[in-house]
Amino acid sequence: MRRKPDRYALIALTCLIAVAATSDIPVSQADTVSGTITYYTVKPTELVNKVVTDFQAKYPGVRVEVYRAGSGDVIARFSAEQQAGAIKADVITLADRPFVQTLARQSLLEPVRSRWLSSIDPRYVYDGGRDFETELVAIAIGYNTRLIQKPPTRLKDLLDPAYRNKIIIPDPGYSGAAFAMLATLVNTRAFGWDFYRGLKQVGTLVGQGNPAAAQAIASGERPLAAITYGDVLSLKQRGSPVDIVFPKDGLVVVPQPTGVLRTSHNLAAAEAFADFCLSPEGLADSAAFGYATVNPQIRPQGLPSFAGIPVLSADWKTASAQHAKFLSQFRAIFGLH
Amino acid sequence: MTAGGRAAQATNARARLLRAASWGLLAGPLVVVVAYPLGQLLVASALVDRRISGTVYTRVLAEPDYWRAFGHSLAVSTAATVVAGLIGGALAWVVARTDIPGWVALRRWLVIPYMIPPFVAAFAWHGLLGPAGYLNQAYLTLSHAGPVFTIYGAAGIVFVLAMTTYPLFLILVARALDQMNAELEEAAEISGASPGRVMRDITLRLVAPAFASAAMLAFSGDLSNFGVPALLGDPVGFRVMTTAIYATVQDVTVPNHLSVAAALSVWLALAALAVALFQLWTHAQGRHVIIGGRGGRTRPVRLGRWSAPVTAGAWMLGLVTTGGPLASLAMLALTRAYGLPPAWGNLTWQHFLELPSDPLVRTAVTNSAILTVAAATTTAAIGFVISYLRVRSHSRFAAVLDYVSGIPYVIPGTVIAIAMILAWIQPLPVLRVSIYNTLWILWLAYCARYLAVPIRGLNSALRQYDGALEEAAAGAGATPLRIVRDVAAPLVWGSLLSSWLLVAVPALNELTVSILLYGPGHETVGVAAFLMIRDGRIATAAAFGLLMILVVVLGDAVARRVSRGRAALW
Repeated sequence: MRRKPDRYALIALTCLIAVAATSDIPVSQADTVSGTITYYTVKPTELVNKVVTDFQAKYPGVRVEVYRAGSGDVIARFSAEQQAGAIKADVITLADRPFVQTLARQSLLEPVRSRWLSSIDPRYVYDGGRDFETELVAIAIGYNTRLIQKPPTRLKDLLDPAYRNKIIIPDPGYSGAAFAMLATLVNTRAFGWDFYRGLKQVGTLVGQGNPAAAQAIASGERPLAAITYGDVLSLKQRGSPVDIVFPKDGLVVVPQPTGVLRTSHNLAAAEAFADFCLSPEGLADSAAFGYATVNPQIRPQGLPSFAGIPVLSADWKTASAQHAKFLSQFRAIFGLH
Repeated sequence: MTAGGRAAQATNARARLLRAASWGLLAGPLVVVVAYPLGQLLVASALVDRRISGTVYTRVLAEPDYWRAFGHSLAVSTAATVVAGLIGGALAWVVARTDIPGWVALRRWLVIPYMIPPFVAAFAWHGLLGPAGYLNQAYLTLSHAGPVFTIYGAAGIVFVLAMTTYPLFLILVARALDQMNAELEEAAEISGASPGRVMRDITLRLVAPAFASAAMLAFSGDLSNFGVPALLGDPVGFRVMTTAIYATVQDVTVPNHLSVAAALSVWLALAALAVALFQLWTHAQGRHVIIGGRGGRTRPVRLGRWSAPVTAGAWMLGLVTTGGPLASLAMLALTRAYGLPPAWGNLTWQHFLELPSDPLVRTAVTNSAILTVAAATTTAAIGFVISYLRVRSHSRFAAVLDYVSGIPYVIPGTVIAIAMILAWIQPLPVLRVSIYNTLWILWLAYCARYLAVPIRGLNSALRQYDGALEEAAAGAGATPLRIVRDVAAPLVWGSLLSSWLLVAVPALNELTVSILLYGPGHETVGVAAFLMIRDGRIATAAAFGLLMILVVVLGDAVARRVSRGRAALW
């Protein structure tokens, strides 16, 4: 396979150009914003806690209230509030690109004004600058180092009968990342629905979210998982016997955009928070957790390279139009209801 | 004016005051916390496009998944009640009737599982018996076969529910045995009845009412439980009614999901009401015999050569049911990183030390403290007034208030929460803000859920005094407020305080209602622990769970101290 040009080099170059073109954008000062904002997010609790704590230290007048759950639950809550005409969220992060896209199209998202926009890879700023990524989330194979001596190196290896009753995957109905994986693999000829039927055949367990699946790897309850890598790496840093492999046969990238709601009652504080998430300080928290960030300067330690792995793509138009159908087919395969 | 005339005037004045107070002060709160929400529940489930229609019900009843969930609820609750009854009943007889050494300590030790919030117990038992639990790991190192026992699914739920409810039987049956006149048993024995016959015809018959009420309490508690099936059933797709309702509320892709949840709630409420009515009916059948009047110290059954095995067995059981979950939580909380083997080098206090700086813990503890004090105080205040009117005025209106306030006590918390959502999700008329997503809705729900607790306690306390003291005060010219403050309240002060604690302690760990009503920034202690477990923050959840248990044990000790042993959590 022909190696693709180093992605980081590319990103760095883009950034240099972008930084050079930076214009001075006024950003709210720490002492002028105050009040409470609400952040609906799918990021792991420990990462969110860190970012919020650091933000509040910088903006002592602002209090951030967090609702964290999988994309399914966050969207449920958000939609209910939207129907009732009382959106509580001021800032939202979802691992469901189509949903955020719809919000942007409905003009529910405020265009992002952040002096840090120029420091990040422009490919991760979406919808005409209304939402953006902070971490580069992707699916890896996570495994328990005490129980799996030779980890599988390809996603297809998971179908090996040797891994019977050893695998857990998060529920795509709850986790946006798991749905992204479903949408991507189903769209890829080499995988398709047969891949999921194969997973079922080796007794794969459908868990809830990624953090819980990472714990299942750590405890050995299910020593193998197809999972977002940051959740596993954060456990590894704390000393749990876990590690990751990026599967050679394809990288599933999980878009996880963040946006500021135009309906916010405290737009200044909400924008300050979004600005902080993009700042080197905020991104450093993501990197410390184990995630590669949209700022190529800020990288986690010990992240295996995924350069050279073909990036698989999803047909998001079909996937979001057939969201319910995909889920019910998935549930039918795994005998869930 | 004659003395009789003055007394009559005083009585008149009091009656007028009572009437005015009852309308103004009581109907209002009860409408807000009970009548209106439950009415909204019926309306939401029966109203389609502003017309009365049964379509939601027909849709719900045509869905086999919901029938399966209902079947699971009944089966799991029945099985857990039977298992708990067998264990608790046998232990009650052992600690109350035999000469087992150390029975006082044993009795204390064996009821501890009742103070562990059930979902924390489920989490703790999962740490031991889960597929990668400590016991299965130990077994796996011996043989490389699969895990011995998996806690997920029906069997695990029944096990955990039985382990947390058997103390109910132990407490109530042992108390009945204590109060029972042992001369009856002696008389039968002297007349030549075999020990088996004495047990069957005398002992069991006399403790039957206590046994039955423990069974009803256990069954309705199991039926309303949300946390245990959510943690042990959901991972394998095993749904019961409470988890099915929760899932329906979460799932916006179900058309009219709140109406469906309302219909399911009505269904579950009817089942719970049927249980409560059955209990009333058995009471009315006169099955409960007055068994008071103890004839001296009840003669213990001598265990003789059975002493050693029975003692060992009872203590072992206590060690397993109490020590098991506590040890599991301690191990999980002390292990440096999840998944490391239990070894000295891997232990740390870090997870306990990190608790005070965890934002979720801070928010949850603050919110629960506020809610607990608010709910316990409100229910005690409203409860006092309702109970006072009920006992002193004999008005039919007060009796109605008493019954209405008892309804939320017998229907599951999940149902109350759905009713609250439906009633209060829309903005309030004048203020134009919705209390949904705030602490206010949790406060209302807690008040509804616990209002019956102080009323029950105060009704019996107030009945112990007749109204003569208040009448005397009225005769001497005291204002009605003064009568309540200086005469009535001090008389029942102890009961008031202990019912405050009886509301406060369970409110601190409440999960079933809170999980449906909490909003961002308004997490409670129970919700926080539940979210940590679901999120896989195992060590933090374990440390927090241990603290929750500690608070309950302390609360119970305080309640006993305050009420001089009359009130305890059990």
